[in-house]
Amino acid sequence: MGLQLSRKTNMKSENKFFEKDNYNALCVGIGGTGVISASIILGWAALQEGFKVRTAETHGMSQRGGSVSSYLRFGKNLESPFMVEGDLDVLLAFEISEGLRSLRFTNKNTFIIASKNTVIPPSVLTHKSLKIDGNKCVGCGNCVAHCLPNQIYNEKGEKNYYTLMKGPTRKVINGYSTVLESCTGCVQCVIDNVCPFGAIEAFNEWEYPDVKLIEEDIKSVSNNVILLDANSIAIKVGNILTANVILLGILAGVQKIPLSPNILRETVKKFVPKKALDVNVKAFDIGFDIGINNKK
Amino acid sequence: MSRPFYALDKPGEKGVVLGNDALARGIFEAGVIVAAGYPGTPSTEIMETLARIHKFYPYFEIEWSTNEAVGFQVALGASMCNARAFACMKHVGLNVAADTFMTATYAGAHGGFVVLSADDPNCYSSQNEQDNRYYGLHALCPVFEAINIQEAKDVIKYAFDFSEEFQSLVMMRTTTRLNHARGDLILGEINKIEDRKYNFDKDRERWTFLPSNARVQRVKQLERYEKLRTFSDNFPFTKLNMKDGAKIGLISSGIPYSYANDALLKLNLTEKISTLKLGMVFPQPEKLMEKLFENSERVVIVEELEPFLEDFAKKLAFELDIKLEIAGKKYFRRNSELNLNEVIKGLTKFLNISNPFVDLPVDIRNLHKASPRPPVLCPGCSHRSTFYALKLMEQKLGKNFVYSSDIGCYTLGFYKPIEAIDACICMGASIGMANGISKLHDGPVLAIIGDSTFFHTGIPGLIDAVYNQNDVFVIIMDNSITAMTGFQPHPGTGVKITGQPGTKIPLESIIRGAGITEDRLWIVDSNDLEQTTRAIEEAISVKGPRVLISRHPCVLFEKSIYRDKIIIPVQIDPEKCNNCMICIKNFGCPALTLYDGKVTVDGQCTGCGVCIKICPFEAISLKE
Ligand SMILES: Cc1ncc(C[n+]2csc(CCOP(=O)(O)OP(=O)(O)O)c2C)c(N)n1
Ligand code: SF4
Ligand code: SF4
Repeated sequence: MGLQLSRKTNMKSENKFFEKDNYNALCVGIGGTGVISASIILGWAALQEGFKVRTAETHGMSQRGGSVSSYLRFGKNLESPFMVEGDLDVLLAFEISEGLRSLRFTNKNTFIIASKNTVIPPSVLTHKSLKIDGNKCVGCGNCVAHCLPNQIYNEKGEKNYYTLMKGPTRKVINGYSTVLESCTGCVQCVIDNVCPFGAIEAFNEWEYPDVKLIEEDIKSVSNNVILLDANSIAIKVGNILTANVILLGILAGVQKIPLSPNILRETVKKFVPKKALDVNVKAFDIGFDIGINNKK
Repeated sequence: MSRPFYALDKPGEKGVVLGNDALARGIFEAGVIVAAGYPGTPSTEIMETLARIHKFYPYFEIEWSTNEAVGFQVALGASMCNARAFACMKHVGLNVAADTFMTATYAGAHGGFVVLSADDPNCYSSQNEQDNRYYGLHALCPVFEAINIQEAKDVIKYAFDFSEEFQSLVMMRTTTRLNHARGDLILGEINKIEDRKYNFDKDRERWTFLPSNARVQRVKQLERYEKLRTFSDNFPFTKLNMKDGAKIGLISSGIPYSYANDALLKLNLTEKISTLKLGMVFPQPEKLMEKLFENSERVVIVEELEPFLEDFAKKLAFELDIKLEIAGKKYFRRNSELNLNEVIKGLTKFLNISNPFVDLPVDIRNLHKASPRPPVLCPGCSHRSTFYALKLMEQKLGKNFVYSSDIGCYTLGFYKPIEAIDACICMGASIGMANGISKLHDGPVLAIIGDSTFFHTGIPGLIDAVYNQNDVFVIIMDNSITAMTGFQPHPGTGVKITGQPGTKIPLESIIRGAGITEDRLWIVDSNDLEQTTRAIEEAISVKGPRVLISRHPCVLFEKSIYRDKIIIPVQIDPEKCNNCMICIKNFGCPALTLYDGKVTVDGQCTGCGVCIKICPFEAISLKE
């Protein structure tokens, strides 16, 4: 279906429906998942439409699992690669928490397409630990005895020379059980309920919010939100790396910015690897249909 | 092989390209025949793109040099031979090249010579955010900037003509926001180079800086500078845009100008403010500034980092005895980078009008916070294994090591869960600092340095350690590539930037040559914990300078070249795993994660197998 529709569309989009001089889009996600290529495709499509194009990227060391944002502006009268916060026409989020992170650029009309998949930063796990409530703890030492990493530390490598435990995980100090640096955050003591007085609580210095809560947050800022699990669809299409193209297909389908679906589709074809051309076209068309169905 | 857009010989063709690709295109169009540099974000892609263009136009020479000083010298030598020459580096690279740069600017250029300095406001991938426009002032070297992608190509291409006309070196100064931006570009003509003669220019007085010659060259430099000063008003990319009746002026350059331009659009002020856009930020256009000052009551300067233009503008107004208000850093931050919001904020404050963009249209205060995503060593990275071995031996031997580090992926060993690195200042400093620390500190002092960095500036520190018998333990994290900046080959890799073979220089030959004897040199496979820990134990037990080469190829680089290699990930036996989290917390490979509350191996596992050894319950094993 996507194919027929896109064939009917004119090569250049009918700019008269779009009154603004300039348009702002933002693609966000994790390094290596096609964030930048999505923005390149949008940029080239905008060029075909005769617009000036500006993009800017921010990424830490993206190959190493960092956040990537690609800001895209196109239109008739602009110079800056950044838009004003709150001035976004389209937000494409390839990872949901990265969408959350970018909401300061949106307004209630921003079209947000976000993939529900999550990539939990490894640092969240290494920042897990425990809190002990001093008012409840009596210093019985139950938890100290129960802690497995602590036992491994006490064995000092007898079990395995190559296991590194830098110190005890917990000690009774001045009559209170105290969590030390070396606690691994396995929180087994909380799960097993070893404290008779309920004094131990697990906590995460860096929390990755629950997906449902992130979804609510995203929906709370804008009236135009499409949330979907693009990764699962992409896997079904045949290649998880086509998730970004699915989102581009949706964008083409909803027609919220003056880039014609046909030009977008042709640009996708130009930029994806030759070997993966068919899956990407399929992914685009599936996205396009989703977009058409969500067109308000 | 299909040609990338930037390598097409089709003047007039339009495309969307990366700033660094546009710069490379401009350099190529200018007819540069020698390009040299050392990788450094955000400049690296310029050289890589030139190397890709080289595949189609192999008439020019291109190299990754050992460091920026050498890169600069290579380009200088080519310029002495009448060639158009280009040297490429990030901002701190110019510190390394500065000794040559400061004197070369006396002699100036023979063939067009442009050095590019890519500055990094906000330290996105750098140890500082120094403002290299001051190098222009310091060396009386003209500095050019561009406001967008098209200008980036056009300005750098023009810089070579300019350099030849004035016999002056030129610095092209960019910032991350230009290097890593994309925009529309129209390709230009590729200059023909056939009718040039390339011979060393035997102007011996000019190139030989004995004091007697230096004094003469210094006078010539000052004469050249006077010419540049007056020319600045006619610089083709500098534009004064006077607005009728406007009493307010704005001066800016580079990417900050693009923000200022759009800020005026957003605030509906384009007709009310006169603007001066500088393409040449040093020397500044004095006549144009004077005209702006004479017609303005107030002038605002929009620039990133230091008050470079502001200080000059104030000095000029004082000399011309024009009374007006000149402001800059009073309204715009001095640290980090600017953006459209920041510029609107500063401008509205300066103009004393309300900022319509202070409040966000959506209320985000009560939304959840996304967890931070700091960079970590890749899954299967061999640096992690070396650090783990070091941490393990610290514990086993009951000693605390001092880790004096260098810059590279291994600097990520600062963060949890490794938390090893104690100091890291700049490239090549690790061994030198360790030498100093070892003179006073009681306990093992380690220098951690990568292979590319060792070639770059590490070798003198090692020679110092040997010569002065300093008690330092040097660990070379040899992953066979310059990984941090995106896998550039170096002398130890033995491949050139073009992909052609070069002469491979084994690290150990240099180390032995520096005077490290066999009993003080250990070479291990980083991922072999048994071998690595044993070597560390032995090395810690001896005194004096000693070296461990911890060797294993960068796994991400290997993955990028052997795409079809079959990876056998490890598996965790749920019966044996007690969920103690030791592997996650104390080793921290990102492929080890929690799924449904159980420690699990995810799809990122490279099958390096290091974690197998560290599990206290032998729960991890290779999949058959
Ligand atoms: C003078 C200077 N030039 C370039 C850089 C950019 N840079 C940072 S780390 C690095 C090289 C890292 O290579 P290596 O030491 O082999 O470590 P690896 O990243 O491979 O682990 C470079 C070029 C810099 N910081 N300073
Ligand atoms: S790029 Fe290579 S050296 Fe750098 S963290 Fe990744 S695997 Fe390690
Ligand atoms: S084998 Fe272990 S350490 Fe190596 S990549 Fe896989 S999970 Fe990480």
